[in-house]
Amino acid sequence: MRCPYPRPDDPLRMWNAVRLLVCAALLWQAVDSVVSAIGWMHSGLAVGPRARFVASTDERLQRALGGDADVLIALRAAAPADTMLVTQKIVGRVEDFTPAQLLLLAHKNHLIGQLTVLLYPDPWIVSAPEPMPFVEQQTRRGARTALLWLPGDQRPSAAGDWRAVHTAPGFEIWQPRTD
Amino acid sequence: MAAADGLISYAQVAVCGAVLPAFLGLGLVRALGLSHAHGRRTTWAHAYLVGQLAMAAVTFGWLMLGRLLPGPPLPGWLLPLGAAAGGAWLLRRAARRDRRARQPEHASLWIWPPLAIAIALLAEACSRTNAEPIHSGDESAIWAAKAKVLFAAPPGTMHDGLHFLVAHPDYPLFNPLVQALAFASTGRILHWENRLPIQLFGVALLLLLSASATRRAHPLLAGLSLLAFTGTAFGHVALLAWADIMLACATLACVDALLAARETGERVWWRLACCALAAMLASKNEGAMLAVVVLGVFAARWLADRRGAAATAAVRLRDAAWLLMPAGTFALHAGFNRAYGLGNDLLDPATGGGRGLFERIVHQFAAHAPEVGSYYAGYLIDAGRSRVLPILLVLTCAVAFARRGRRFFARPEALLLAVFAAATAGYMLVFIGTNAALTWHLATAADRTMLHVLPLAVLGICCAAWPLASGGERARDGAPGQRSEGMDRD
Repeated sequence: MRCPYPRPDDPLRMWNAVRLLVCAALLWQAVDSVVSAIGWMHSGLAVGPRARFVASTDERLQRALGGDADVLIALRAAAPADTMLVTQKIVGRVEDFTPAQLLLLAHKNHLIGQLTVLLYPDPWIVSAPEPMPFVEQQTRRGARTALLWLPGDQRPSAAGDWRAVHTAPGFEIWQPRTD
Repeated sequence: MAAADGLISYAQVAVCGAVLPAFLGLGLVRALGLSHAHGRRTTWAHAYLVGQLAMAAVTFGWLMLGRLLPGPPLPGWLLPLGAAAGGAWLLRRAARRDRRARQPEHASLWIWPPLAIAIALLAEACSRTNAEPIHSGDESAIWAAKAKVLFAAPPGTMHDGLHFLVAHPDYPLFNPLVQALAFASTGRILHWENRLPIQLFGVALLLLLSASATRRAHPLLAGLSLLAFTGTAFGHVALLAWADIMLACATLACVDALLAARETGERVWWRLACCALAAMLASKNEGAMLAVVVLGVFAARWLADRRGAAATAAVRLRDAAWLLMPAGTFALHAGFNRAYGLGNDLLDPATGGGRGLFERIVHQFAAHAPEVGSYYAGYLIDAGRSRVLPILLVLTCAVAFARRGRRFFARPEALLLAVFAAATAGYMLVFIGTNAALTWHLATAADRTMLHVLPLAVLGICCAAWPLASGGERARDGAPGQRSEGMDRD
């Protein structure tokens, strides 16, 4: 079998000066990479060994989500079993909102995204542009569905066809009356 | 004890989601023909990739059977147990066959300290990242979400789960299945431990890159370039449960194996290259483009070698059958997407103003090309992002070409440069044809996609700047298991 490459004693090897320059450039970048990585270790994002290895999932959720973790943990405990929770989908054009409203909506959108993926499949949260008619329709079909009310959404009327199943700081769960 | 919940869960996933698949992979790569004499780093890196790929296939079968067959599904902890049993059986067979192949290996002091530093920094950063659960961004909305749907969608809701919970549900299945194995092993959905098996692809990549570079170049240069590489997008992409690190690892494994096949003529490399090709296709949609590029470059070189009667890796029909593995992976992915009505938004004309990707590339070329070109030019000269690795690759290859003339084109650095350049051009064209806001798309994806081929740039620099005796000569001097002094520095 013939080797496809030149032999090691090939006279056409690179100049040592070029090799030295390449090594110098790589050494510079290698040192900078290591220094940057060590800088991250000692930055404000430093994390203790307990948080890295021993902390429970809920402690990690609280670390990452802050106050939103309380909503998530309470919702996880309060959600009726095998029930789809429907929440208000954020719709509209950017031009329709003030910067302050946009900030609130962005936070809310982020919260819905986190709740949806972190709590799946129990409860399964979906967003709908018109959540109340959607829940009523699904309930009439016999599907186990409830409305997840978050601050800023339109709240159903307790005096009307809806009843609050669970009320907590940061969210409420409502279902249409079926009796 | 509640305080140790995290630690117990971590250890459970480490064993069931990483160690046992790697053990199965070790048995599989041994069965394919890889021995200790090929180097421990190479063996473990390929073992992790092949083992995870095999377990992903098994996990997929387990999930689908659980949905199709009546009655409760088999418990998920049987999967890692099966991996352990399969790995032990394969290793026992291989040990009987390869008893004579064991040789003491030569360690190089030049490569171990940089490799140890790189792995230690990665481990520190991974444990820091895992202090928080997977809760936002692509790792949550795409990869973890798909893993959760595959594992836990209530009966009859898989379709809705994929369409309504997962962003880009058409993306390939390898990453979600690796996470689903962690879920299955513990019997519940996890929120942070499932990053660990993905993060270990970063370790596999470092092992393979160091082994591949020291096999072909001076270990001092290999060590320096390895450390420089850790300062690129690798430094943050390898921490998250994205599929990019899996694709980068698989692409390097494929190219390294094809180079080794060409250098040594050993068939094990071709088999490993086909496994890595399957892993590329199963990792991300970009893997299909990279697979076409890699196969195109090596096929062109193979044809040129044959014309010059210098082909060292004779491809026979039996070897070509190994291509069924990537083809089968691609077909499985396409079949899954078809079954659940999933399509790619970048290719779908409906999301691109009535034009498909290729039409948009032509239509938007004049408008997008300057911004894309400017972004990539900035990437090349920004040492903080690229660590000047692409520029060094081009410069060292230019010098090598000036010194070697036409013979340069038969060298590994020429093949690596060709793959790197073609892949980069491919990504630039995709960005030109994007249906998203261009500036946003470049800012969020360009550096991450360059990571898929940056390990090839590292390897190319090493081969061009300070090459050792070629792999072909070393293999000729001593087949695996009979190598002479200083041949393999693992």
